[in-house]
Amino acid sequence: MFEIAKAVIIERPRHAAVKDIRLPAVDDESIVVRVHYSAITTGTEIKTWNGRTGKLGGKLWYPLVPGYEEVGEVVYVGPKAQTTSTGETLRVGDRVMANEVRSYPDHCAAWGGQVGLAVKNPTTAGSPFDRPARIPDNVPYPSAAVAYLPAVAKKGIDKAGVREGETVVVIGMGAVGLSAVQLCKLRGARVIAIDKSPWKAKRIEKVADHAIGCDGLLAYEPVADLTGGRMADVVIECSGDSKVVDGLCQLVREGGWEVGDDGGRLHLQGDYPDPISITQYAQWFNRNLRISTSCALKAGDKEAVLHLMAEGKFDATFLYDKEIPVDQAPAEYEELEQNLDRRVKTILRWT
Amino acid sequence: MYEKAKAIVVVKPRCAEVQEIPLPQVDEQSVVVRTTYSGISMGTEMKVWSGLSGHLGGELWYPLIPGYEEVGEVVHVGPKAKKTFAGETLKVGDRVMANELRYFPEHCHAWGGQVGVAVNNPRTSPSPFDWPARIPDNVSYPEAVIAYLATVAEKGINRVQPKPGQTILVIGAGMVGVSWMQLAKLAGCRVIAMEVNRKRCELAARFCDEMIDVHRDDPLARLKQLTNDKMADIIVECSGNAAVVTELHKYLRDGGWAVDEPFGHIHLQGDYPWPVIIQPYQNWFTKNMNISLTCALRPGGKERILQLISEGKFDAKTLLQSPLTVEVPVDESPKAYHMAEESNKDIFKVIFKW
Repeated sequence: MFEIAKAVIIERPRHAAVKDIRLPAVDDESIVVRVHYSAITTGTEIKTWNGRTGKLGGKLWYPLVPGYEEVGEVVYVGPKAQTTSTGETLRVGDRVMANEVRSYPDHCAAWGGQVGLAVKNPTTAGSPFDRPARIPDNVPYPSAAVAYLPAVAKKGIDKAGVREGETVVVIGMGAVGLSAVQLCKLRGARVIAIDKSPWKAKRIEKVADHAIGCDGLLAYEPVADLTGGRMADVVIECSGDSKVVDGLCQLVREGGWEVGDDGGRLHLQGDYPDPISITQYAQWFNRNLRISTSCALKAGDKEAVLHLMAEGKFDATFLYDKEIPVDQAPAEYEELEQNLDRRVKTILRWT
Repeated sequence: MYEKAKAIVVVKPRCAEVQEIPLPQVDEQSVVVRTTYSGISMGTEMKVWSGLSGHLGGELWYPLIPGYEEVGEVVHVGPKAKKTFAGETLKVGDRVMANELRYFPEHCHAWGGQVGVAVNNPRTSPSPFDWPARIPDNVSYPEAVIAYLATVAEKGINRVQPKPGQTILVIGAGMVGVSWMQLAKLAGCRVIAMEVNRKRCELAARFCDEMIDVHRDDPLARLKQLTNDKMADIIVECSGNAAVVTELHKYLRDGGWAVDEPFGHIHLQGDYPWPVIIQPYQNWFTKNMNISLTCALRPGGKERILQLISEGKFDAKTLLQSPLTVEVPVDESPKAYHMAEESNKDIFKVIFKW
């Protein structure tokens, strides 16, 4: 009954197609979701499309099923299916975020979300943070489709410990950066948003306290001007550009010398397929820096973001700028890659 | 009265001399210390001697006064001199750690401690952690010399905040590494150490729970075995070798996936004159790790280490009595830097008697 479904396949780097593929076996523990909308992640997913992601420790091969931002309607709940990570029992007809499906019989799952029927069970979605999350009634599917990357940003902000009154610099206004800006504002921080594309910086002007269109490597002077030379308490790097990382210590304030001052923090929110080189280490350790990294999201983060959307506190419409039918997806990867300076995200309509 | 003093001057890279140099002016806020002992810091100080430190943002030039591990007797206390961090008023005759002096009229300070008369005042010792600390009566001068790098480790462990029972891998058994081992043991941690130099391994063996013999074992396989595949909760990099940093992710535990699941922590305790390369980043961030860096020490750190030595909880004596520690008169210091370098880490510490 749920054996085959339409999926976006990346057959080899730069070659996507829409095809029917074999699904993982649906067992007693499975939940099956009929996908209504998905989204293309312009960071990680584009890199699996253009081959820049690299080997992922031997776990990446082609053909692969990309993506992890898909939402839809529950069409099957096995008798032994797990609850959501917040303890809800799902029923047929529930609207959910489905996300990663980490196993397919004939394809690499990286990360398996661009599929018409998402089979979620302990084999395909083993971790608590992998489980589907129920979408509140007043959150439309397209918003829920793009709620995944705000949850990724939330895990990072929790890790970096952003506090009220702190000055936060967020670099890179893709979906993660746009989310980080909104979430840091909700925590009462003063937020400076930076993107090398002036168009992208301008989009977030109304939310951020300051939005600067410049390369992260050249952000020292504008940030110094805005902070009276003090610089940021926290820098959140969301551009994914490893070249930017080397200069980041300059954007973090001095500190870590006096009693009660633990110094500034840096959170690396990108995946960085190219090496990160810290060339002027003396400038880093003179700041007594704390650097944090985080990958993906935590259990409960999807629900937390959906809740913020339901309350009207998080504006999902910043996070996408185009909707197309899924059959047009193959050409869309290239379109996004070519136009990243004036594009954010494309939503795919499956039904 | 305190206008000139003997000092070690690094005239140019690899060339130290003992010279009389003009001192910073002694004002009403100054505390003057006559140095009795100092030490060579085998990491940072050797790099300013050999020229490997680099420009330090334009703050390093020659001739320079190196060092920061000096102790001695207070010979002058200005009427407006500050109290110690512990709130004590210093008196003539007190025994103190003097440490960094960040100004000399004619020399670069990097960091000014190898001098016979240390003039401490707000200009030369601006930060609270720069101020002299009184040495308890039962702590010897040489013990107080080597206490300095223990305070550097103390700032690091205070940042990392390890919990009892956690496994800490300490890489590099120089003075900072051995101090980390002792402080981590005091914090109730299990300490596994790794060091290339065999003599330093022998010295460090008594301060850790297990030593990975990199000449005999594959270090990764050995750590895996020692931790039942979990790997280290915390890695403290004390070798100062940037190439080591690139490999660290392999030795760290996975974590940070479930709500409240602990994650690994890497603390970089070295100065790294060469670029630190993090790659492949995928192997770092998929462990959700934290990385921290600390520089120098924190206010109160000197007092805390001196207290631990005084209470017999931090063992400085074993380090001093080790055959890897040598004591020489300060006039022989120019040769001592060469000797330290040529020993290829067989010398753990050089102490100068003033």
